[in-house]
Amino acid sequence: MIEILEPLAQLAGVRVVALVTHDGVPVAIPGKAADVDNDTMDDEVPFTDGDALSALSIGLLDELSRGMGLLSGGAPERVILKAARGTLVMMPAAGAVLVAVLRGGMNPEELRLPMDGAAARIQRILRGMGSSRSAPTPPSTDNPSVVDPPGLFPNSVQPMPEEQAN
Amino acid sequence: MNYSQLAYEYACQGNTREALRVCEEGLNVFPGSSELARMKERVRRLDRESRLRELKRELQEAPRPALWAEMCEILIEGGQISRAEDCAREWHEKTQDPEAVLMRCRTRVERFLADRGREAGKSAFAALDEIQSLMARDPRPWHLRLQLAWRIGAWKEARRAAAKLLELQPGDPVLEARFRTLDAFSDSSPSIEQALINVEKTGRLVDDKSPRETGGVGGTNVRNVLRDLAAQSDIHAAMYVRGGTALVQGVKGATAERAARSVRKVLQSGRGAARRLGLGQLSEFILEGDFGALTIAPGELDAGALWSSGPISRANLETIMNLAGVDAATGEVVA
Repeated sequence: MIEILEPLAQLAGVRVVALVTHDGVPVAIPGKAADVDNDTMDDEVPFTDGDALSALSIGLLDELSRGMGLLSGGAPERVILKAARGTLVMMPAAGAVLVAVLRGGMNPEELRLPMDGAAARIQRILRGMGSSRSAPTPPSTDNPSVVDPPGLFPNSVQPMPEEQAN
Repeated sequence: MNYSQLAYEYACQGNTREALRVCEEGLNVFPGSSELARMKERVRRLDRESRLRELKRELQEAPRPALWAEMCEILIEGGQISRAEDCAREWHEKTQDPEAVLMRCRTRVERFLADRGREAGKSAFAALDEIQSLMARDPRPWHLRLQLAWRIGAWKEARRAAAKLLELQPGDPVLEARFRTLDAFSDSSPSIEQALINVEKTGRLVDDKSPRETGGVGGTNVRNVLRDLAAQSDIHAAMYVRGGTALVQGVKGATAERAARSVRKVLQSGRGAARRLGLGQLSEFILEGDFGALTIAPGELDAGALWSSGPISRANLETIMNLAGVDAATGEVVA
């Protein structure tokens, strides 16, 4: 997960990126965000820690889902909270929530595409993990006719075959 | 408008003083002009920036406490509280002047008054404790403490500060009157911690005007603006929320009630979260989902909101931002 979040965290203007479960537990907070710094140059966000950010973000998302329930019944798929000293962007992604905090001057729209990409990659990985975990035991190879042909793309990364020794 | 054109010309020539004068004159004649108000704010910012540049240069050539103090004041005035705090810290490091500590204390108080978060409040009180140990006989830190405690409704603490100030400045009739008022309140006073929690929860200080108290401008203009917005094809509803009431155009009946209640609930959550996260005052809030997009532009006491099928245009966003802060009287009570 860190490999997916790291490019997001390194974008100019991004202060913190985190992947958080729906119960507020941080799954991954890449790089500098793990021990979120306290420098407050140029009126930036004075964070205390990543755990607090995760818990507060999920709390907010729950409240918003309840609030929007009155209007449509659907939970928000993207939340942008712009404030005086930074912007919080949240986006649910496959059983977790992608959270990013941007510096004051950054336009959250610049993060839309990278976040969509990261969410899709997270979704793909989790789907792959899920399907490999819940996959039925392969049928006996005694009867090769019942074995399904392999798909066009593998659903998980296979180890490279070792070169055969001559 | 001629006033804004003239002010613009002056600003382009670098004559910010004259540009400011033209804006003020224009605002006297057209008090509701948002264009002139924006221009005035922009010119003031330019003026502050040019003075800051001068001060930086002067501080490099011949640093003096008066220059540091002016720089901090300008930064606080421009809302750059963290930079003001850094400036005060640098001032203290270079001169060990207790005035620098007092200035840092002021920046913390200003930060709390702007953000209204509990942690910012605690930090302000901690800074006040520090400065009071350095300047025990100086009334200014006690005035700051009195102001802060009064505004959060910590009456007992405010009474303590007023009593100390009366010791330092005996016979001041204003202080005596304030002390008597506080004495009456202090029986039912929350602790500092509880008062800070209350402020963080509601986002309101004791002396903030409630929506009922603000007379506000008539709701007719707001209603027309909302109607124009709701007439656009991609807009489901345009709303203006203030306190417990709302004006809604575009949807009717139960849907209008639900939409207004949704906006109010979402806005309350967003304001609280922004403060708790230390992001400061909420300025724009966008939610997207299968319902479309809900864009909220919050003011101090009110908010404009648009429920649309997708992201809204820049022009529509500016329109609801102009609605926020007008404190319009909401004649139609929808929810």
